[in-house]
Amino acid sequence: MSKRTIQKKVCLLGDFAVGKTSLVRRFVEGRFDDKYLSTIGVKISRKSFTLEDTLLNLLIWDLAGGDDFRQIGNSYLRGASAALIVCDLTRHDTLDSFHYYTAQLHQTMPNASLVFIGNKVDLAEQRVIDKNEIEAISQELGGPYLETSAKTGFQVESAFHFLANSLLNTL
Amino acid sequence: MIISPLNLDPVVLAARVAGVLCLSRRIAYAQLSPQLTVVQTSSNFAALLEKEDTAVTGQHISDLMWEFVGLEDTLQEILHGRLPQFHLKMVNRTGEDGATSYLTFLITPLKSEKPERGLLLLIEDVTERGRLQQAIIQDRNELRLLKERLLRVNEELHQLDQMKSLFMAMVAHDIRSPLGVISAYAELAQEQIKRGNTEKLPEYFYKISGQTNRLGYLLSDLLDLDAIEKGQLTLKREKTDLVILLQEVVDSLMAYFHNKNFQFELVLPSTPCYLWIDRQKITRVFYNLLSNAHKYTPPDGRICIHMAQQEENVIIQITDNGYGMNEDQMDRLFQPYFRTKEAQKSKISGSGLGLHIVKTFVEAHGGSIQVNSQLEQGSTFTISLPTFTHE
Repeated sequence: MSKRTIQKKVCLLGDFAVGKTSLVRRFVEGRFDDKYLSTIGVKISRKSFTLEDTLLNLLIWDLAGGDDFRQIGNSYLRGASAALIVCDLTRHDTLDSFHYYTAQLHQTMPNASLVFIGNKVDLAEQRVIDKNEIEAISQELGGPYLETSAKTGFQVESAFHFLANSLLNTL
Repeated sequence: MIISPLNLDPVVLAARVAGVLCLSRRIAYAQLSPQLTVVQTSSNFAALLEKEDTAVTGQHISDLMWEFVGLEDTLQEILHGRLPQFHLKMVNRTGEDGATSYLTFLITPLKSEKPERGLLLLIEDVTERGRLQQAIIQDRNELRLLKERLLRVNEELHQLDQMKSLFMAMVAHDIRSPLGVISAYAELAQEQIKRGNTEKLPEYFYKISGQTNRLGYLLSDLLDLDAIEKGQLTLKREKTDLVILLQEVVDSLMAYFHNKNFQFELVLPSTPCYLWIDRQKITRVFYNLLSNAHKYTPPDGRICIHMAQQEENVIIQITDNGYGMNEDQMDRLFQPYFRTKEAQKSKISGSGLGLHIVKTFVEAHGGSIQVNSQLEQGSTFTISLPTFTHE
């Protein structure tokens, strides 16, 4: 039996320097670069993988974070089926932005699936965001929560596969 | 709102745009059918997208460019006149050489009064502007991160300052208190000697000696901390049998433990365990840990000390069934000046330096220390030290 193929656009949202580009690089290229390079505009990557009987082509939109996202506007979110909303577990203010990004996404794409990510879990000694707090916010905003490390690769695949599964479930 | 040339007949528009494009390779265009397939393009269109020329015409736009996957509904909105245009600024593209280029995409109707006839896609290579903008944003974001870090460090320094003030108050108390006891027993001893009554002198001298030792250990902690903070910690290593060393420390503290009627268990290897260590510092490690077990275990409690050799390491476990700690307290236990709130409220003396010094000394020897604890259940400190290696 031949596999069905679907293409979906997913976005990565979150404040600057939370590790969005590093998560995509880890997932798509399987590598990590310690050097921080700010993204302006958008960088689009593609990753194909099979889930059950479906070949899924994910078009991953890695968007500029923080003020720069506020400037580029919501047009970048058009057509997105899902989003990973990312915070940096070592910077509390990046969690405060979860509400903003969720509202922006749902304003443009009301049915888009969401997965919330606490990145940089490897920096345990610098961690300032409590797991209970971030879980409560994620629950309030209607999405599951995962902790990841783009540096070590911890749960990065799981985060995207979680997102992919939620996409398949909505087909 | 797009002005002028887009209201022209597509053929005329294409000719004019093509003329401009002859002068510059930084802008390209494609005409899209209402079905969103490519009808025609400028000559530089494929090159700008790093695609084969022949592979472009007739293709659906979302097959040709990832940027338009998922945007079919948006493009239909333009074709139906519900959306004037769609603009994507600063789309990053990585070339075969690994360099990032920046493109801007603008999609508008071919004719604004008849949008259903097709779309015009304009692509501009804005790499120079993009690189400049990226450099500015990079600097700005790095400055913001630096500012956040500085604020955090400032907050930590403020906390440290408060802890140091608290520590100074504790040290003053810890010095004044034994001095008071020493002074009182010295006066009592003088009185008794004047009266020729020497019966209680051994007890008084024992108490004076105990308080003098307490002051001595406090001073050692302060000197060690000073050396650690200045990065001047040095080890005077010598070949040492750890079994004998631990036995000596335990023997010296035995009277102290009997005062609180502890059950005491000491399990040592039957053969020597030679390590290349600084005797004085490892003695302090054992003394501080056993002293803590004594302080934070109520009378009639139980203290177990186990030493065993495991491959290349000697493992020492000190377990008590005392007050114990919660996870948050355990996380901060080895920080300098840290004392649990319960310890601060209690009358148990302590500077909050002992465990910080223990950890520093153990790690300086290439070892490690771990703690497991549960409130009201007790604590286990596990030290691992590498066995004999001559430097």
